[in-house]
Amino acid sequence: MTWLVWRQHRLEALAAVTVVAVLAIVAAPTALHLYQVTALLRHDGCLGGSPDVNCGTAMDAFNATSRTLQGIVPLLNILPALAGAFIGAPLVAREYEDGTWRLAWSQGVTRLAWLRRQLLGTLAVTGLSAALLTAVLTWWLSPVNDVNGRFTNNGFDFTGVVPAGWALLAFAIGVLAGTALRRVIPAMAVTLAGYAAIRYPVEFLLRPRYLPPAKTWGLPFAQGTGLATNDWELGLDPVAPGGRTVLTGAQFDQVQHTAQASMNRAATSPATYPAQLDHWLTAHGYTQVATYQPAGRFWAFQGIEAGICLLLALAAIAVAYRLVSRRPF
Amino acid sequence: MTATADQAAAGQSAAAVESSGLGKRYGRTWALRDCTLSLPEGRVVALIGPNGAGKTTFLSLVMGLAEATEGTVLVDGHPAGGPGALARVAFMGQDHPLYKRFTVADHLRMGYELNAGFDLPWARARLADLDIPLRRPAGRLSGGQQAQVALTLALAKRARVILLDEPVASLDPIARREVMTVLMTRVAETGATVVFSSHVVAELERVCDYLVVMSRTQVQLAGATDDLIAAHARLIGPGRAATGAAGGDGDVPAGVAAVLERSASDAQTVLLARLSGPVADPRWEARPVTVEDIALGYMAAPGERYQPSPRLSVVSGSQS
Repeated sequence: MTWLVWRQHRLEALAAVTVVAVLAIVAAPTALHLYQVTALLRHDGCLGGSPDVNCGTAMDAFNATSRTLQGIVPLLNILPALAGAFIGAPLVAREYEDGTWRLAWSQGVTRLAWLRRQLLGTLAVTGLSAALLTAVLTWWLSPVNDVNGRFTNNGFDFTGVVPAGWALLAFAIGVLAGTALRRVIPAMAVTLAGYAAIRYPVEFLLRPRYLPPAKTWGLPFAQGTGLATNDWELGLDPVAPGGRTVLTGAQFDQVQHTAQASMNRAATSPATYPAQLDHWLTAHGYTQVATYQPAGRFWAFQGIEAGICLLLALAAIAVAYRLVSRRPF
Repeated sequence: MTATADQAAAGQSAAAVESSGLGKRYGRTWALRDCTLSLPEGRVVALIGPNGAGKTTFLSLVMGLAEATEGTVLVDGHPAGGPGALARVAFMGQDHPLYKRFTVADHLRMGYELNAGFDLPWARARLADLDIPLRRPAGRLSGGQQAQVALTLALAKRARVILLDEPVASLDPIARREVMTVLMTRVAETGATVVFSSHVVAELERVCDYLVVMSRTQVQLAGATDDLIAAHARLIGPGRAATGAAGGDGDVPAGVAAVLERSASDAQTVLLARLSGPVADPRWEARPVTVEDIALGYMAAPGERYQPSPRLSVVSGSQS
C-alpha cells in the first residue's frame, strides 16, 4: 500500500520539496549578509547591554537589509494552509469526486486501513517539509531574532514545533473538509477559510495569554522597559503615583493635560517637550509598568501552541474517520 | 469481528452471498427493501431489472461500499465490508472507475499491492490479448478499454465472489461476447461465483445459470435457471371464440400457479405461466420457455413474485 500512497501523492511531495528548496536558495544570500551585519553589530556592542550612540547608523543598515525579509516571511504563514488545501483536502475528496472510492475501497484492504495508510504517508510528507522549512527559516531568521528577539511574531511562528503544529492542523482540516464535502475545490476553500478562522484568534488573542504575563512595576519615564531582547513585551502602561493603579487612556490624557498646563507656564519649546513631560511625570511620582512574557517561557509557549494544534488536528481526523467508516452510499 | 467468529459464521453457510431482510434507504427513499437471497457458489448469477430497481444498491451492499439500513448480508459467510469479506469479493463499478493519471500498469500494481493472491501474470496476459498498452494512462483509453481494465482488475483478484455492475454496458457486441466467455471460463477455473447486473436481457441463456429479477427496490424472482425453466411454460390453448361463454380472460388450465403474460385472439390464447404441476388439460399445449422469456415476463408483471427455496443439494457441502 505504501507504493500506492506514494504513486498518488508523489506530485504533492515534489511540490513540497520544491517550495523548501526554492526558499533555501532565495534565503541563502540574504541570510549570509545578515549574519555579517549582526556580527558587526555584536562586535560594536550594539546588541543587548547599553548600545553606543554610533549604533544608530549600524542598526539602520541592518534594518534596511532585513526589511524585505521581514516583509516576506509573514506571508509564509500561508504555507500550512496551502498544505492543507492541496494535500489534505483532495485526499478523500478526489476519490469521491472521481468515483475512484469504489475502486479503492473494493480492494482487499478495509477503508479505514486505507485511510490510515494514506494519512500516514501524506502526514510524513507534510511533517517532513514543515520540519525542513522550519530549519531553513530558523537559520534565515536567526540574525533578525538576535536583534528583535525570537518571541516576536516571525521568530515564534517559524521556530521549533509551532510551524509543524500548524501544518498538521491545516492538513487535518483539509482531510475533514474533503471527507465531509466530497468535492475538491469547495473543500480547498473551506480549508483555507477554516485555517484562517482558527489561526488568527489563536495567534492574536490566545497566544499572549497562554500564561499570565509578568509585570515590572515602578519603571521611570524616559527610560526603556528594561526588558531583555528575547522577552515579549505586551504593553507599557502609566501608573498613578505611589501605588499600583494602572491609569486608563482617558486618565492619562487628563494627567498629560495637567502637565502641559503647568509646563506652558514654564514656557517649554516643542523640541524639548517630550523630555520635559517625562521629567514632570517622574517628578510627580508617576511610573510605568511593563507587561511581558519572559524569554524563558518561549519553549513552554511553543509547546502550548503546538499542543492546541495537535488536539484540534486529532479531533478533525477522528471526525473524518467516522465519516469514512459510516459508508453513507 | 474476531477470526474465530468469522470462521464460525463461515461454517454456517455455504452460500456465496446470503442476504436476509436487507434494505437500504437514502434519505427518505428506499433503494432496496426486504431483500432475502441465497446465491449458491460457483454460479454465474444474472441480476436483471430496470434502472432504479435496486441492482447497484444490492451490489454495493454486498461489496461493503454501502452500509445496510436494515438486515444483513454475508459474503462467503463473512459480514460484508469486513476484512474477511473484502478478501473474498471483487467488484467492478458501473462506470468502471479508474485513476485517470495512473497507467494501466499502475493499476495492476495497485491490485497486486492491495490484494493477497492477485493474479498479475493472468492480468498482464489478458490485457496483452486485448492490445491494451500497459504504459498508457487510463484517462487516455477508450471507454471500452477502461471497462476491460476495470474488469481485469476485478477478475485478477481471484476472489470467491465477483460482483460486476453492468460489466458490458460500454462494450461493443463482440467485446460483450468475449467478456461473457471470460466470465464463464473464470468460474469454471476458480469455482468463483460471478454476480453481474444488467438491464439487457439478451444472451442470458448462454451465460447465466442463476437468475435474479429485481423491480421497484425488491427481489421479484430468484432461482437456478434450470429450476425456473422447469417451473414455467408457454401455454397455447383455445381462443375467445371457444371459451368466451365459459370464462373469458380468467380461463386457465389446472396446474397454472400464475399468469405472467396473456395474449388472446378469437383463435387461440397464449399464456406465459408459472406452473404448480403438470398441465393435463388436452385443450392446452405447453411449450418450453427461455430464461429471457421468464425474465421479460416478470419484468412486465411487477406484481408477480417467485423465489423457490434453494434446494439442499445446491446449498450443502462445498465450503472448504
